[in-house]
Amino acid sequence: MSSSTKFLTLKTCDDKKFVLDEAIAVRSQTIKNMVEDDCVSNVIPLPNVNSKTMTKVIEYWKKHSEEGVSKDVLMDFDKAFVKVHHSILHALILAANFLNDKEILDMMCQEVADRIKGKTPEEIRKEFDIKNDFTPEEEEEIRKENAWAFE
Amino acid sequence: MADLLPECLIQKILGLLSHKEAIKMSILSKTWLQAWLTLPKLVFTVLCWEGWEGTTKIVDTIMERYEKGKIPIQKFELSLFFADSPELFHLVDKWLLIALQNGVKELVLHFTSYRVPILTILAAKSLSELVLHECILMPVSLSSGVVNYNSLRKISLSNVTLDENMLQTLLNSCPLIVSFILENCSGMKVLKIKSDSLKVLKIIQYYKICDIDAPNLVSLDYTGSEIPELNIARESSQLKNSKIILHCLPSFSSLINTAWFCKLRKFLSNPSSCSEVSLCLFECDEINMTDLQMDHIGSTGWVDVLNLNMLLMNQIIECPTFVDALLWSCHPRRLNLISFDIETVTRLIDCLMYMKHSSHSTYSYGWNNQLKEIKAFDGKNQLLQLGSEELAKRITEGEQPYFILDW
Repeated sequence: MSSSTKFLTLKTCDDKKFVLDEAIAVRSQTIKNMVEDDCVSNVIPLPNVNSKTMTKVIEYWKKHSEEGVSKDVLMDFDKAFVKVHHSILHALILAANFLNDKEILDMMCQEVADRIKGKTPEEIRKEFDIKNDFTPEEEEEIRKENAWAFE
Repeated sequence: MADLLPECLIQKILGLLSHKEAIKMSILSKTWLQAWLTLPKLVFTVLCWEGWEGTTKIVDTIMERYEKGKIPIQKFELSLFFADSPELFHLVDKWLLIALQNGVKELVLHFTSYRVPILTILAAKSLSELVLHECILMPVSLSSGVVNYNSLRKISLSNVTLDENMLQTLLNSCPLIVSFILENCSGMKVLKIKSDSLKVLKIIQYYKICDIDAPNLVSLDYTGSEIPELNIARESSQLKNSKIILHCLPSFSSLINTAWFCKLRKFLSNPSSCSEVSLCLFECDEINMTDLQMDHIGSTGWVDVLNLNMLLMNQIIECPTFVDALLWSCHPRRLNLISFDIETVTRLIDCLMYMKHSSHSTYSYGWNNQLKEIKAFDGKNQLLQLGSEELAKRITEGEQPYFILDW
């Protein structure tokens, strides 16, 4: 690291502070824009991200910023990274969306899609804890309209 | 929990599923239904050997719903396999029109024997990306009302049938075009590309003549049989990345001789530096080094990586003039050799080593740039201190040692 390494302090919604090398933090396009527009004071507030999620994001950023890491190692890291409970998966999607980190966002959405594939709607509701807010009649109507897809 | 995701993120997830799976997700909850109903990216595949009526009915219903509700469409992708019915093409015309009316930005069409209504497409102001596979672009005369103010930035044509006029009309009518990809298209005898706005150009075409007139080009990726004529703004050249692959097969391209190397040198000296050149050679004719030296037009060409593929070479190259000519025209900083023949590679390495030694001695062609040093490295970037035969053996066994040349 050069002597001119700059550090940024990120503050999550639960008031936890993370001190991070600027070169790593700018993986977030949102933070990058703030830095470029010079609107960074001492602390960058991240009102939409909690500390638990931020810890995961930083873990990813650091791994992917390491020098000399082989593609295979990164692939294994990513594979393990997405194997989390669906609540963390959703928190990471929201955080990546807010931080504007396309890499994490794409990877997490792909993971949700992979978990959906081959399952029935009932199984998916259960897995992702989605509340069915249709009346039985409404649900029947949608099923009928697109009957071919539910065959 | 997944209900807490905003609609746009649910749509992102739905976009990663097949259409059938995405529809199934619409009964998860009202949020998911709403996300599905207004999905901005529509991707349809119709397999016509299974009988197309069923699937097209579904697509038609969806498209009519978008038309009625004026639901914005960002991307419309349609692939039809084994389609030949005119009836079907009428439907496609109709869907295309709906997509264009609803402000589609990215249009991807993939099917054989469909005559794309290119004028209608070019008239759409919202469109920024057009990708065509295997379609037919019919000749249009300039007088038939080609609009000059469409906003297309990217065009990609692969296995498309079009003629020279169509290609030029297309480029002329897209004053904002930034990226153009042309891959294995038929219907043209010569390839001429002319555009002032073009920055990224990728060509995979085997033609005798290829003229590129794109002064603002930043990246060029060219695969073909003939060295292209390249016209870029010399003083302010922005060309940073270029990747040139030449498959010089007999009957396909001109003979590899003195004139060929002069042309290669002229081409490579055009941009300030050429990133990567791959030559797949078959045979090589007589090369006259004196003639080569007489040809001092333009500055010297520099190549970051030169890949020399000699797999199809059925004769041992007449060293040393071939190696001389090659280094003279390319000045590679890194050289990769691909061959199965130990003898050819050994002789080639011997020639390289000889050139290095000769540059220190009196033997020299009087170049401005002398080969100072040449070092061999293995796949793990470790310096190899081996004889030419041992190196050749490793190369033919596919271990991929490479050479770094210091000029």
